[in-house]
Amino acid sequence: VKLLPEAVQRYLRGLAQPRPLREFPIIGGPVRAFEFRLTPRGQFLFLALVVFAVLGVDTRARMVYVPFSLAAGLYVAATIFGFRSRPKAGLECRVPDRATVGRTLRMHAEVSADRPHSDLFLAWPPLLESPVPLPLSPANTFVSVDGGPARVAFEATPARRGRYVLRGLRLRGTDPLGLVTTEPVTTPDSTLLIYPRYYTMDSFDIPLGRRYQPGGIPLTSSTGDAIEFVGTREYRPGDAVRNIHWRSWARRGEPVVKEYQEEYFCRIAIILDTFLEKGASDAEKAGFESTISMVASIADFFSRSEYIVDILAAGPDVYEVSAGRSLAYLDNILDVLACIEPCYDPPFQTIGPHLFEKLSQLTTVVAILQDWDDRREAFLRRVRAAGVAVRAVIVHEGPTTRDWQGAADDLGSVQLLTPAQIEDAIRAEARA
Amino acid sequence: VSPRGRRLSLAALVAAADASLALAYQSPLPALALLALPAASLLVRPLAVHARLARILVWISRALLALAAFRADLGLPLGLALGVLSAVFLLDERSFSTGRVLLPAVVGIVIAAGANPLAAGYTPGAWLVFAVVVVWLGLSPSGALRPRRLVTLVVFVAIAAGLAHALIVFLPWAQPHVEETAARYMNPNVEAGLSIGARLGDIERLGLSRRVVLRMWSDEPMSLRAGVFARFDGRAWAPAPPTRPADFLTARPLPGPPPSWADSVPGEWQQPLSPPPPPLAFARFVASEHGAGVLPAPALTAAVKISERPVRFDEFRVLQAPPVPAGVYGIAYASGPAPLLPGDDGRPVYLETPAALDTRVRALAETLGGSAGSPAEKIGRTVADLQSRCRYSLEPGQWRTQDPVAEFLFDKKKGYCEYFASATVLLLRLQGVPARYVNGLSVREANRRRDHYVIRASDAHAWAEALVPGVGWVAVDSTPAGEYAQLHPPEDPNLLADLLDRIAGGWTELVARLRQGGWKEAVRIAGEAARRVLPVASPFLLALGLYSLARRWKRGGAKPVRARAPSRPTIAPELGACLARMEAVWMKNGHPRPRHRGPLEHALSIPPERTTPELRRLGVEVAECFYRGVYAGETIPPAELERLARAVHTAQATPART
Repeated sequence: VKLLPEAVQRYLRGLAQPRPLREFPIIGGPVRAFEFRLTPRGQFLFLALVVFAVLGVDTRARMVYVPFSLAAGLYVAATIFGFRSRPKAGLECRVPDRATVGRTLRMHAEVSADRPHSDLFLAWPPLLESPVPLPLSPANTFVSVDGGPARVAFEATPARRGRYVLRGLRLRGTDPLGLVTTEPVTTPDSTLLIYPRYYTMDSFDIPLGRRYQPGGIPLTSSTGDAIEFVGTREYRPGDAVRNIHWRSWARRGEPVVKEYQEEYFCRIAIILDTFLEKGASDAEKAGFESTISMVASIADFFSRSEYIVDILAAGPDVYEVSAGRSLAYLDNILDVLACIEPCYDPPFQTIGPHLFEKLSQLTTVVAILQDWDDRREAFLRRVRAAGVAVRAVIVHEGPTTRDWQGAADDLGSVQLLTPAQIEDAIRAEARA
Repeated sequence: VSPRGRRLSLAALVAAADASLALAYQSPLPALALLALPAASLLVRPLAVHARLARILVWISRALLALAAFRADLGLPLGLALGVLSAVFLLDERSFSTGRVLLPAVVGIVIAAGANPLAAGYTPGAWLVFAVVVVWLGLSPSGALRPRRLVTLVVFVAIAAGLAHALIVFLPWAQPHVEETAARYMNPNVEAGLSIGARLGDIERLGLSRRVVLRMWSDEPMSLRAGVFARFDGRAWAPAPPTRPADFLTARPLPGPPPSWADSVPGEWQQPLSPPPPPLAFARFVASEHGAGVLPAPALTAAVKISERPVRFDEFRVLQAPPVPAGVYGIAYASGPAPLLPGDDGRPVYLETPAALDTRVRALAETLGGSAGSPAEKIGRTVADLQSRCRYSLEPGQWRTQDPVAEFLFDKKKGYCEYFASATVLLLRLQGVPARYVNGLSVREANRRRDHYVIRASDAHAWAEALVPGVGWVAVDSTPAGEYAQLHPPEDPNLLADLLDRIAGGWTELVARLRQGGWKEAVRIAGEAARRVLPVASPFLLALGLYSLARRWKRGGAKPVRARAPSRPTIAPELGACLARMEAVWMKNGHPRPRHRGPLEHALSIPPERTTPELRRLGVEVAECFYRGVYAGETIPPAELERLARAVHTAQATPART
């Protein structure tokens, strides 16, 4: 296959990927009509109709043409009713922006109409984008509007983190037997970001060091001046007029100036090892998810501490998450972690240059690794050689490729955790 | 519908399917047993069938369903088994899903019941199932059965039942017709139609194709020639080699006034060098297809109006034009036999007979009078003998010899027009009368539909032309007219067929005119359409305009645009205020909520050592209450809201934790 031109390879790869029938060019239309314009009972009737048609094709051999005729009568009458215009009803549905894996997501739809409607059908179309299916319960239901607005509650429990794009909820009218639907009233599509699971860490020790930060946090955020105000003192010749504290001068009768102090604080980079072999086992994939949960937990811990996480290197991508005056960086990290995918090439070569450029401003690098081998060790040694403290956590089941304990003495703090331990911690918190 | 009502309706459905099985096989004992089972299942309390047993039963029912589909002879036992299983399925709705297990089993019972082709009672049974299905489906969508809905339901059921009944009557009636048509399409060689030659003895059964090939607007029916053949080898007719150059038609005005329809035919009038003298009659044609570039036309064609060029007469005055998919053309013609062209009378090919001709044919020719009598008398005797000797049939059957004409005349004594025409030509030639074989289209009064004649492929016909000195080539059709008419039924005058035919005809003409006339013709057609439609449609358009104006006036302006659902949630004021106060508490305690973080995530992310357990719990409670109210659509009890508001107020008043 590799000898073929790239375009042909792409085409073949596209063929190999499973696609829903509804996306195929010719048969897609009927399949979409079957999926969206028929209610579940309409779909059953249609399939029964096909079976009756096949078996009843010879009217002399069997009398199955009789049930075929009856089913066809119902179906045709329902189709005629399905040509009516969309229902004159308002539809509103609120979908949260963010949720967490394993936590039940609840939302509700509200259907309102000026006059009573009995045969309305509310259905969620397939998700536009999702890492795994998100089963919404109920996926479809009949609704009746009589008097006031009707409310329908939906629930879903996301099984995997990621970005889910939900197509708008569809409200359709149906025939009196609820077989075939009309054109729909829809709500806008919505995006739902599912965060990975994480637990609240009580402590996470890192090798501490304070590094001078010219300009303080505002400069870190690329805006404003250093404004760490420490107090006032009397004016000395040469002080800038802009620093005069006018109210103190008025109170004391002599010029007073404001005094600022430059800042020292810890700046941290978190490195997430997303390398995963192609064709990894389910256990390895679960381990990868545990690694992500570990990073989320650490980021959550830092967000509650005095540390500032500046950089998140996840796989081959490097994110500067301290933007926005450092206020929302946990959300930034969780947003990134929600959508992170495994990297099938060792990512350290890619992130190296960008990270080493920033090392001079960093205090500590926290690396969450999935294994310990030469490549990973060499990378961390280079980081350590740049004068930055290293804290490594290996999330791995069983013995690592190389012995990590020998390197731990040189590098500083290295710890081995198993995915099961992380899962236990998450479960314990969920129970609490 | 309550669970009990649902169970009841499902039991009724199973019972109806069982009843259809019993009615189909007229077996009262199994029927009673079966009908008792769903009733009994209602009396028993729902069970919880063991999962493994449930799986086994489901697979058994699927296997039985598949068997019922393939083995019609096992209909009764399979139906009974499925009936028993369905009754079991009624007992545990959780293990046996209605849609995946019970309803397929019911379908299986219905199929098993329908496996008996002689079951007179099956149709009422199927109607019973239909009625139960309608009641069940009609009741189960949510909503009360209000009068308006009831009316809609009744209309719906009436339409469905009417359609179903029509199909039940129509399908058995249509099956033989469909089979016949399918057989014809699978073997197109046996259909009637124009051909470039005629080969006898190959077709054992000739079908009549209903394909429309031509439409003719004319004052009278006529025979249209499409090919003339002179050479016959005993089985096949072939054209004779030409002795004269083709006669090309040139554009010239007609001697008299053109007909009223002349403007609707694109092109100019084209005439041969020596057109027949007036008076002329006119006919307009819309051809669905030009067979091999031949324009079917009467023998004495004087002029043709058509956009294609060149148009010519061949040696036998058959009109030929470039082959095109479809077209419109007009003909001016004189009545009378085909003209005798120079050199036509002395050609020996018109007296040739096959070398290996059966002696009985020669003997018959002798019996008919030999060379005695005038050509007209010979023609008369020959036609009379053929019509009394042989009968017209589309099914001459299998041919056993290599001399189909002799076999037709003396053995089978039945055949269709090609045999009659071939035998006529041979017998006339044997009597010394020059004759030739002609094929074309026979247009009769039976072809008339409203203002025109519809000519189908089945109207293809063959006849002979004999040379009568002083008159010319006289058409001699020995095919028995009565028998021919009997096997070529007239046009069906029913309304639907008429409507469909008008649509098809209009469409063919429109396509042909557009193809031939280009955009000018399109403008002309649009003008014609507007002239026809506007007087009829203007009252309706006026009424529609008035109606829309009245609606607009009643509504008081333009139609309101349907408001889209708001993308952002609307928050109840009390709930919003409670959360806003909680936000203030968080801010006061040094944990302002970032804009991108959800309230619950934020409440959970505050480190325990930096807040009190009460404050943390309060934050989580407020956030969860907010989520329930805004996203889950729940109505928060006022007591709960008040309690939270009070707690948040207290927290707000408490000094911040340092």
